[in-house]
Amino acid sequence: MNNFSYTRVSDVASAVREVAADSTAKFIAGGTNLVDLMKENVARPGRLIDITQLPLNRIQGTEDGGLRLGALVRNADTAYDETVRARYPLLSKAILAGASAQLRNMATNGGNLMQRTRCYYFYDTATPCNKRKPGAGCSAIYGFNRIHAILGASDQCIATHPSDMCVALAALEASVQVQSSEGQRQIPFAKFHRLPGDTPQIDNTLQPYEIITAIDLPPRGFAENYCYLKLRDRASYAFALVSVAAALEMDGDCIGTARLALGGVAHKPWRASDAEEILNGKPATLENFKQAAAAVVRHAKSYGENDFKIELAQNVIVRALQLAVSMEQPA
Amino acid sequence: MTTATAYIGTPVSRVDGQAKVTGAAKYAAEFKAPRLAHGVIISSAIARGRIVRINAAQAIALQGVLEIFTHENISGLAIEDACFADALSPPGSPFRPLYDDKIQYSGQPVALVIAESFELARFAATLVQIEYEAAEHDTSLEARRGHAYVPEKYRMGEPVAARGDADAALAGAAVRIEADYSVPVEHHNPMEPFASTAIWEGDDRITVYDKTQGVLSSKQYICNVFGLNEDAVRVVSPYVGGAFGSGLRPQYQLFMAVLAARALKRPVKVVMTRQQMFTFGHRPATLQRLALGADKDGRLVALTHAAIGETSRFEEFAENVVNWSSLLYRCDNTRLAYKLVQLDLYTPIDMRAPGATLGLFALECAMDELAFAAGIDPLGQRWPHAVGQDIEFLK
Repeated sequence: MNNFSYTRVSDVASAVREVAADSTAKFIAGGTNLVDLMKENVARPGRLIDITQLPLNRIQGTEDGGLRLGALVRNADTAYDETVRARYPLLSKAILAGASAQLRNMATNGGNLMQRTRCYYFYDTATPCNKRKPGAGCSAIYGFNRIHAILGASDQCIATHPSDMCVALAALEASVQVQSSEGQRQIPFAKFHRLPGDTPQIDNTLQPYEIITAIDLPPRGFAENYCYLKLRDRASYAFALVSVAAALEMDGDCIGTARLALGGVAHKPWRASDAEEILNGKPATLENFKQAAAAVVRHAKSYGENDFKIELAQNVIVRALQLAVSMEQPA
Repeated sequence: MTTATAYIGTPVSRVDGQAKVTGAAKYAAEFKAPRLAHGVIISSAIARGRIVRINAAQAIALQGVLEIFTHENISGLAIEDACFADALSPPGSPFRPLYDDKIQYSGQPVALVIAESFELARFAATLVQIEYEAAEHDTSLEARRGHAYVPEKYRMGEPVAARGDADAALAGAAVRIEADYSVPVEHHNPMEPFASTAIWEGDDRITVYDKTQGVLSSKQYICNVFGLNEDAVRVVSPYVGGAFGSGLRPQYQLFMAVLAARALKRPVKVVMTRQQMFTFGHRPATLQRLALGADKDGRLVALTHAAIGETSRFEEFAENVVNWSSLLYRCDNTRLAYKLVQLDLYTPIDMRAPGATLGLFALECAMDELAFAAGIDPLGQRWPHAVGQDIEFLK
């Protein structure tokens, strides 16, 4: 681990001022990912700005009838919040599908969005990785890539975004509230994380001088018909091979509005808009679910060890949609 | 009178249970001594080839970094192969840490950084530049199965000789199944990582707190490798935080800690990282093929079981994978075979029910397949052939 300096700030204005003044600085809150990365010598901040004292630890209603999740609210507190459970149960389920109880107690909402991929090669400094060192090459494309992307990857990087929470946030069309010394802005969730392209070292559109203050949920919570279905190599404490957040508004036997997002398949939580279009206004039948699932993987590309994900993703989509309609709980 | 049955159904506390769950138990990495120095091991980035150059200048220049040991600067070790072997070494030439420039497997220890603090040693290790010349490597058992050979020596007993005529019986069987089973490498990875705290006592005397399942084995290894007298070496292992067989042979952190303590004349602690816990012995990957035949009543009439295990290129680790198949169920026509493939990996080591776990997994799966093919209840199908049903306990 590099030597680094440590500063604690107590208001957002100081936080953004401090981070803008030092290009080697990083914010630290729960530290559940950053500290690991520092121990492995992957992240080498010269300075840590501890933001845990900032007043961003509340969950409260918004003017438009939605819900604002403070950036520093712990994942566990968010998942067990009564309003979240009643109005956005998909989000609660997704959070609880991730990590372990201990990690969820530490990890914050803002940090969940900012966590880095768990690609083996990203963590192994003895191997080339374009995300860690741009231009070094990608070891995963011809290497061990069981956990890697099948959608939206590039020849530079096939890493996946590891979050469960973010898959639900994508389906719910959340927005990310950010602040800098210039002022505040709002980033639609679909535009927060990005695809690797030629710059896989950049995970998202947050600027280095900005801070996440909150995540806003719109009023529609899809609390009647939803499912978060996660498939992984171990029954707990494992990242998704494929996960699906399905949220439906039913209109009798037909689907009024469908929302579908996938985890474990791309560099970002993958919103499946083309599948949603197929489902909207259609009867909730197996045939239609299969057609929607096929549309999601139409342009999928696999790399050997993750070939199985193309079929698995379709099966998980179909099953998640069935469970969202019936509201049976996944086993 | 205390009999074994007195304990059945009665909760019994582990002797060391309370100490372990309250944190009172002290493990090898938790012993302290004045002037304790900390070691961090650097692992090879390639699976096969050689080290061309090591540049440790940047690391050694840091204040508080005491020494960086590599194959280029260590001396005073035993010369003979036999000195590096232990009681459980399979036939072959035992691995010697920091011996030469040759890389034999991925993660092989190539350097040891010693510093005043663990954090400093870990940071300094990131500054050591090692240039490799990589060679082609073979680490896939599946890809190399064509190179399987019959081991020279069966460490755990050779496959039981064939009985009857398995091929003829199989050909004439009313029900037949053939199935392949593949088991990947399994690592022991106990909660406590391998660690050694070596306390140099002066006058060539040393006390080592070592994570091991055999203190005498560790002691003998230290005496042999470093040329120390038996009465000058003390190895202590009060608690073991899990080992499952991985502690049956001295692991390389022991060599590292003693090497540094002896050279620096001060106490040294070396702990493997979680990643390094994947860089020594393991349960070998295994490929198995079984063919079973039964008569129309589901009675087993033919059994063949062939297994291919994996070993390193420097030691021949053979284990008893197939013999169980001629012991568990009565069958008059059996043929067993066991072969090895050499890969660019570290030598496997015994792990919980070595061999049996692999062989019985395949046999039991195949028996299920046979029962299914015969259309009979799998348990009912097994019972009539279970060897030992005349034993009182089973009645």
